[in-house]
Amino acid sequence: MTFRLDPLYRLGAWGAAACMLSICALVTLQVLLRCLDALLKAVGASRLGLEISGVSEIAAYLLVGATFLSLAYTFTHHAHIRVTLLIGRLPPALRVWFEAACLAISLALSVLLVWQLIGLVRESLDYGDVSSGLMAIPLWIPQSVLVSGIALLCLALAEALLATLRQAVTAPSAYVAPGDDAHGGE
Amino acid sequence: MLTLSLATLFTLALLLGGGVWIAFALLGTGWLALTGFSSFEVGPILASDFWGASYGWDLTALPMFVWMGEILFRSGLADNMFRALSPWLNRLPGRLLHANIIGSGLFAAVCGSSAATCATVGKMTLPELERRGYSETLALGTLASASTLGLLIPPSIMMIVYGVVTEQSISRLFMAGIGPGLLLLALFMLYLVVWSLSAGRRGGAGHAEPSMPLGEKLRNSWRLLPLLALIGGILGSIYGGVASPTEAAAVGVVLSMLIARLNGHFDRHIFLESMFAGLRTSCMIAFIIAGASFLSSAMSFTQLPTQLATAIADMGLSPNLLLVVLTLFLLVLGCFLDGISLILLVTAIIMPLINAAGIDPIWFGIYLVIVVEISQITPPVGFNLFVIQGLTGKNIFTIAKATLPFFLLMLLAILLLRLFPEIVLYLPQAMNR
Amino acid sequence: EQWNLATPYGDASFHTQNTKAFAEDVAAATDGKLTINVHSGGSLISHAEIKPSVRRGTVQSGEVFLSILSNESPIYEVDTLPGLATSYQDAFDLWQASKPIITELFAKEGLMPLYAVPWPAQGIYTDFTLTDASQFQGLRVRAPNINTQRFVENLGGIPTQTEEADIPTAFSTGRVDAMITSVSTGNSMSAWDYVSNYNDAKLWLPKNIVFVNKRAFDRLDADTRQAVLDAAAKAEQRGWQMSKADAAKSAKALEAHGITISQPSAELQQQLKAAGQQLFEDWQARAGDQAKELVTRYRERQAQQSQ
Ligand code: NA
Ligand code: NA
Repeated sequence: MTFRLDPLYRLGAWGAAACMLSICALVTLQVLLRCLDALLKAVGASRLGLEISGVSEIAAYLLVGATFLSLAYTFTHHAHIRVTLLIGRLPPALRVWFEAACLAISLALSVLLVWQLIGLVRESLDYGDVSSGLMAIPLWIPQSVLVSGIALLCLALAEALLATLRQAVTAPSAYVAPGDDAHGGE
Repeated sequence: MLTLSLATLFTLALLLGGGVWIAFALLGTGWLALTGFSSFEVGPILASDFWGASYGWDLTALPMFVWMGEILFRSGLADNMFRALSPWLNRLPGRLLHANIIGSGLFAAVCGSSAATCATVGKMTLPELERRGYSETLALGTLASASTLGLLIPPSIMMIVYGVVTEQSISRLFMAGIGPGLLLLALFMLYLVVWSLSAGRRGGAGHAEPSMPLGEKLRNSWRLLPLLALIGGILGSIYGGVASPTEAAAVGVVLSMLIARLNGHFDRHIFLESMFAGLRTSCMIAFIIAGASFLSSAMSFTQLPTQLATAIADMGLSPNLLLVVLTLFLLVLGCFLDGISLILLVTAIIMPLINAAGIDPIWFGIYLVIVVEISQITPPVGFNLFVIQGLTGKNIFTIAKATLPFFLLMLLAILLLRLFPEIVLYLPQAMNR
Repeated sequence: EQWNLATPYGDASFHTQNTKAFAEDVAAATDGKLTINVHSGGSLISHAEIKPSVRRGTVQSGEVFLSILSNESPIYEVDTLPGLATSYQDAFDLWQASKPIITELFAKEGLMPLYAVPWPAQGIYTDFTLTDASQFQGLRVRAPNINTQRFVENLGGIPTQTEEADIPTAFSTGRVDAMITSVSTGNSMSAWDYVSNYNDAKLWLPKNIVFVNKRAFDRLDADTRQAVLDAAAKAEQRGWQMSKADAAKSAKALEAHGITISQPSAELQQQLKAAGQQLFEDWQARAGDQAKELVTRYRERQAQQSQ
């Protein structure tokens, strides 16, 4: 199946990649600074005491982007897992309706989730919520990232649902479930 | 109480069986349980719980370790490891399958989560084992179960959770996990040996590779060096005081890149490929974690687990019977709740009983961790099963069937620990001297 | 009517025991018309999400460590300023003086404070005998909040962030050399596993605060409302006693496990005071008129006490 908005989902994945790289880089830098301090202490000098304050706090919120911005990308690569033991045995003409139902349920839940999370963002903006650590990160930022990730997933689910429904109406017995042939989505 | 339990079970079974993605099945079940059986407004709970489960410092270790696994998988290190190990393991029945168990044990010492242990070790070993004609059932079973040791061999996220809420010493819990961890490793390996011997020519235990003289074996072993350097580097960063266990995950990523580079298997292409593969796996796991967290908290709001646990507390059982009933209860609950929720539930309601029964809280912590380990490999909600399904595309029920013998071995381990509590308590008590 | 109350602290903590007693008192006083389920140990909601959840009405009531709100208003920092209030009496006066402002701040979010209970005074854990502030030079000190960080910097130390769960490993591997916390926390974390000395510097007494969603509270009938307020007043009184008792018990436990508890020398006390004073002045500048008002009220109360 081809997704028309695929470039958008890839963009999300690149955003996630950027977050993941930032986490890795920040933590590595922190560890390198500690190594330097350990060396200095070993040769009898005094510690520099360089600590990047707030690494753990920033990384904790970068994680939101690193994992959830790629939701849609992961979906289009069939890497979200499910149990196909039962529906895999259905004839294509019936399977296609099951697939549509699964997509519809998932889409409904995603839309609900986006809707409620938007409420959460609005509340964080209203009250000016910030994280409790030293960095005082405004919470609406990572929360909006989460909303974007799930909104992308909504789009991907909607695309898949439409395509599946079209197939169900036009040529149900020619239906081939996506991702059945491959896994993990290389 | 009964209606709610049945309705929850039925909904989850229906959604999962019908092929709904696991994360959505969990979200949907939680949503129905809350709308049908409580007067709470579901939307805000969904939003705040999903949000609460989506960030966190210690969670960052998971995508890092997953990424590291993807790098190692592409670096040719796995092949090296197997080539170096196979002459040594040639005589041992079960041969390279032991690499799954030993690898998990080693990696467990580096990593505090079982999903990350499973993803990292499995990414390296499963394709190689398949290529070498080992029994798939055993390969899946050993991996799924041995990687749960990530929780038992320190460092361990679960022990930290238990230690913090019950005010037990985390260092003592860490020490206490070592003995039982080794016991489980030994049990798993023993089972593998027995299985291979009894399998005889049935196959699946790998092919004998040409034996070689000791000198050559040793010369071959240098291939293990990069991997040992990696594990040594990560452990060194933790115990050398330059990285916390969470930070060590990022150290692992950087070290594995360096090692892969030295091994000649690292370029821009592999870098990007490993990163995006890592993103997909961590996204899949994180989404399920958030779904499981919402289902768990929905259950807390309906008071169902609390009522069940209180019912057990009111039975007035003897210590041994209490443990038996508790184990059964947790096994059933462990099919649906994630590990952290299990620990929090038990500690909130059962802990006074445990103290009253005179059961050592450190021992009980280890017991709980093993039960949580078991819950990682029981369907439908078992994170190691999910991870392996993500790695192999095999159905979680197939994987669960493959882990059944190991599930029983873990129950046996609990029995052994009850009979010989010193396995748990020797090391932490030695700390007092 | 059923309420849920979320607290991040485990059942072993005296705070949770007090909160559970509060819930029982409410149930008894209202003949079960209002029951409060206490969800301890962060089992329902994690620490950072408790206040937003109560605000939203997801749960009706919650308990948090007051100073985790420091980023929202400098007023919430008041019980973590070193040297401002160093005894239970002072801490109580400070709470009384800050209560009106905190009530006002909470009301803006549709919340209402019920009661606050302090932790025992904060001291310094080290694996050497602390005699002089110069020993802080280059020392890695765990600083869980902004004020502790500034305080450590003022003393010449290196403030480091360590998650609570990471503390034992951090100490035993040398990522952290010292921490500032109470005897209670040290006892519950088995501090003797990794440190040997406790300096009872009595720097400040931070508090936990228990609060409700105002809408949920207003929905109750007048009698029930009164019953909640009465139980809260009782819980506050009991909580302060429990804190004192726990401090004594914990100090004994620490000593029993081989930790040396010492009092700061006059010189060290002077140095700590200077570092704290600097922090206090910064805070007053940041916090503005409200803070001045609060401090004036606090000093008046102190003056009355000493008469
Ligand atoms: Na581990
Ligand atoms: Na399970």
